[in-house]
Amino acid sequence: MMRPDQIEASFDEAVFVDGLPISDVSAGVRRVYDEGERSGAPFPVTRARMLAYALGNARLAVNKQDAFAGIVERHYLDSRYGVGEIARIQGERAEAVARRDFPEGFARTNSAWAEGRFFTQADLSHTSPDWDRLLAFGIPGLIAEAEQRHAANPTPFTESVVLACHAFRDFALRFAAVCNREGRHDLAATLDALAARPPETLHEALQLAILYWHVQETEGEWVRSFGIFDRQYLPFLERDLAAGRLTEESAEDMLVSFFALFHAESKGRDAGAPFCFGGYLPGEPLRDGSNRLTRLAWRAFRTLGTPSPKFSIRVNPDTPRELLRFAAECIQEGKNAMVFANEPLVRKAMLRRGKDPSDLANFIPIGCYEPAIMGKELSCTMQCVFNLSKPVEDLFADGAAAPATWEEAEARYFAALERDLREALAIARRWERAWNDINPSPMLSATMAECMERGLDVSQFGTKYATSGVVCAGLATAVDSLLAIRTMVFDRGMISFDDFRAVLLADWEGREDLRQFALRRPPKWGCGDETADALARRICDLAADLIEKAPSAKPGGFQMGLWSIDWCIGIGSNMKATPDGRHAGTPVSKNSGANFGCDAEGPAGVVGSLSRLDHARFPDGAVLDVMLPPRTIAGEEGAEFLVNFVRTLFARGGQFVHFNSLSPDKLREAQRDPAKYRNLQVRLCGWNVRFVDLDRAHQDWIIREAEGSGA
Amino acid sequence: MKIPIAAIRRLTLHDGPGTRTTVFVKGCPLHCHWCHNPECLSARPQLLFHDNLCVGCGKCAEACPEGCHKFSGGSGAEPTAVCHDIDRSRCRLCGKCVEACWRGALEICGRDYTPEALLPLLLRDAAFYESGGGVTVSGGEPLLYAEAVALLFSLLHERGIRTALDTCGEASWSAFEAVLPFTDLVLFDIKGMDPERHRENTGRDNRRIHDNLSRLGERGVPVEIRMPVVPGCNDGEEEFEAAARFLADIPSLTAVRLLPYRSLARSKYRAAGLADTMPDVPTPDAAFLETRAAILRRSLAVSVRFT
Repeated sequence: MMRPDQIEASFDEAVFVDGLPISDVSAGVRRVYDEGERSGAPFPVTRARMLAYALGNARLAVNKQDAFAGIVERHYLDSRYGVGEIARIQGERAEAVARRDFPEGFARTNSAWAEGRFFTQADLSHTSPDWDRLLAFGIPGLIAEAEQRHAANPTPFTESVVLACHAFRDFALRFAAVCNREGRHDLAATLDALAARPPETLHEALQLAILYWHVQETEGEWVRSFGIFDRQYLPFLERDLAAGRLTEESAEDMLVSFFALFHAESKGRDAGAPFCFGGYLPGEPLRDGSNRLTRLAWRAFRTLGTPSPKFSIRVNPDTPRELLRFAAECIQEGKNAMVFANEPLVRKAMLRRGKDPSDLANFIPIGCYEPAIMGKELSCTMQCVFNLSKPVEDLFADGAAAPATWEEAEARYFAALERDLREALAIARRWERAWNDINPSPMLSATMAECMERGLDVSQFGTKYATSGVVCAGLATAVDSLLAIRTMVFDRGMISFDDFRAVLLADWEGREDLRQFALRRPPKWGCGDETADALARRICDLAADLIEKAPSAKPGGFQMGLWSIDWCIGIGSNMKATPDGRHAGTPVSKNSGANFGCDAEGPAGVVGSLSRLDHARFPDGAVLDVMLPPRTIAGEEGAEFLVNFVRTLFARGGQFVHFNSLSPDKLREAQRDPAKYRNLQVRLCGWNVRFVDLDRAHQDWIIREAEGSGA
Repeated sequence: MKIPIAAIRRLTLHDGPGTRTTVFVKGCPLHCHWCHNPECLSARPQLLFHDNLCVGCGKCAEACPEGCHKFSGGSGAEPTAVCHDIDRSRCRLCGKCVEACWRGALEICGRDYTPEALLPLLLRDAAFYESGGGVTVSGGEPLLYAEAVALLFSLLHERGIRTALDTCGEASWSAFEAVLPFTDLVLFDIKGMDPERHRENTGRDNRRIHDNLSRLGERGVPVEIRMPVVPGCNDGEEEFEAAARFLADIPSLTAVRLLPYRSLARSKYRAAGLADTMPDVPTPDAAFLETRAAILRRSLAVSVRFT
């Protein structure tokens, strides 16, 4: 068994044996694009040709010990190699579309982001292919369907899909030739088979997933879900076991090699390759689908212990306790690249938004923790990022009159919140139709039944469902700030509103006393305090109402998320000091949790507060970060506690949860001696990274979080 | 009927099975040198001063009507160098300094609760108890308030919540009898077998404690033994051999847990203005604890663990 560093080394030392250097591939992709634009070819067709060019010319490698063919020199979207040509073309087109269609909105989205207010975009990368269909059809099946549709009713879309599917097959065949040349006839045979028929064995199915991963990302969309792994691949495993091609042990080894590829490719520097496990099977009565493959995959995850891939579990009352217990033990070992999803709650949220009950078994977390229906939903989960705490800052804007009462201050906050959200949503709406102009996605569309039936690209809303996520960040900062104003200005009369404004403008300079009061005394979100929780509920209800009712170009409309990922750093860097005691430029609160150090009642208090929100109103996801000192979760009791915590949070209505267990001392030591702590991973937001790879600001942020836990 | 409470800790994992809430009462008949909850020794409320949080701003002195807070040294530019002394003999626990201290450096530890008033605070986390957890009353010594604890436990039982009593055992049997009908598990401390050393270490001998434990065994009450292991005080081989012999006769033991001494509580003595009696000895390591656990395991059928 190779260690993570050996896996990385093997990947990095691979000798590329076919294809062109990156700069030539980039130039070629650009040439195909320019020719397409000059000739007036439909853009989807040009886009498919760009895909074919990149797949036909990217350099490939295979090592003698590789279990899968999977080393492709990647640069299309990838910042690790500098922004690739495909990402550059996307950026150019996005800007051109926005300047053409909504120049004022585009200018506003830039200025609003510079204020830390909101951000909107055409989110191209939070939609999942239909893995079930891909595995059932195989490459030839996709080609056959595309050709049939194209013959019956040729359109630029059908032409683009035919081209993309052929590019997929040609890529498999080229990789097969490379394998033959390198003496890996076994892998070549697998790839040749995949070019000719659907996968039959587990090895073939996983190899197909690797190929598809490269193809979709070359097309221009990150693969933000690899589907429901244990359900998708179980039939392949069972056939192999029955036929004696695999034993459980050899299957587990194969899974280690498979998952290792994702780590080797990213080395913990991207958002991780997401795989989902467990959850209800299709059909009634509801039955949990965890199976022997679940166990093998999780054992492989534990063996690897790398930041990528990242796993999720769809947790329901029938989830085997042993699976949760196994996950808890991984967390104890610091292998915490995982998130737990409250499946019944997500199903409720989806039903509320009109999804078909028969589709709910295909719920997957996309990206980090954004629920969507695999293969049937255009789910741009990050179409808009909105800062709930910015309107607090507006109360103190230059020239704004001081509110006379708390009620007036509160009403002004809600009015500003409504104004900003409406503005953000109006711009987000303009972006909804832009994807098709920026990056039509024939490969992704080819996997989706409804896109093919309707003859519409995923970016033209060909899917059964189409939604846009509005990520609402900074809830704790908003609640704590408003209640600091209430307590200090109106209830206690410690400071006038105008003086408070001056203090915040001066970033608390000379008023550490007031700042300490603001940090400690007013009611806080995340402590089970009724006043704070009621205010949070009102903010979320108002935001959810506005978001759900806002006009959207998509049939499924906008939907609210209650999370921030690390945007809380970017947002905060553009904000002045806030009344909750936060300094100017520092992060706002993260995801749906309390401000650091303000969870005086610990995780139980946070759970109490969260239980007062209706998480079914956050169909775009909501996640709680739990930081626990390593000694708290040590041993038998610690593992049982983690399981119990997940179960209890979900029983009380939480949606997603993930864990960190870090000692601040160890993190500081890792800052001093990075070489020694190379494999120390932390769960950053919805993905894991190696701590030593983070920049200093992110490292310090994680340390603050670990200290806040009382570790 | 009231209980003086020092703290309520939520989501505790080591005060009985499962996920629990632990209530720490104030007041204890023993005074162990190594006590790690010195703020629970006295039943009376106390002013705690966390010197690490004090910035020397002097607001407490301005607020204090009795002139308890005295500052010396330091300067405006370097307020943290200020020496902050508290004359506790004059303190009437009015709480004005606590209110004035925005850093949270001052707090009053100890507030009386009726069982009825405690109940809603404990019910907040009822959902967490469902997988085998519950409420533990610890301290201090809960049996000083046996009647109130019995009422609290009965209220919890009425709501289907399991209860555990964490006791040093130094109490009248009638106190046990009051609480036992509503107690699911007793966490019982054994702090040493030799009566004289026990008196030196804790202020009392262990006769009544051991009698009580034997009676719990006779009554079949589930008992988990907790043994603090303090180097030089009670960690000798012969102590553990004697403990093994004694415990082997208690038929209702559920487990034994060794609690290695840690000096983490030292700052609490400072905060409470108490003389620091904690021994200046290291934390016993796992290898040593294993030798002591092994002695017990030879005679006992139950699990013997340490944390």
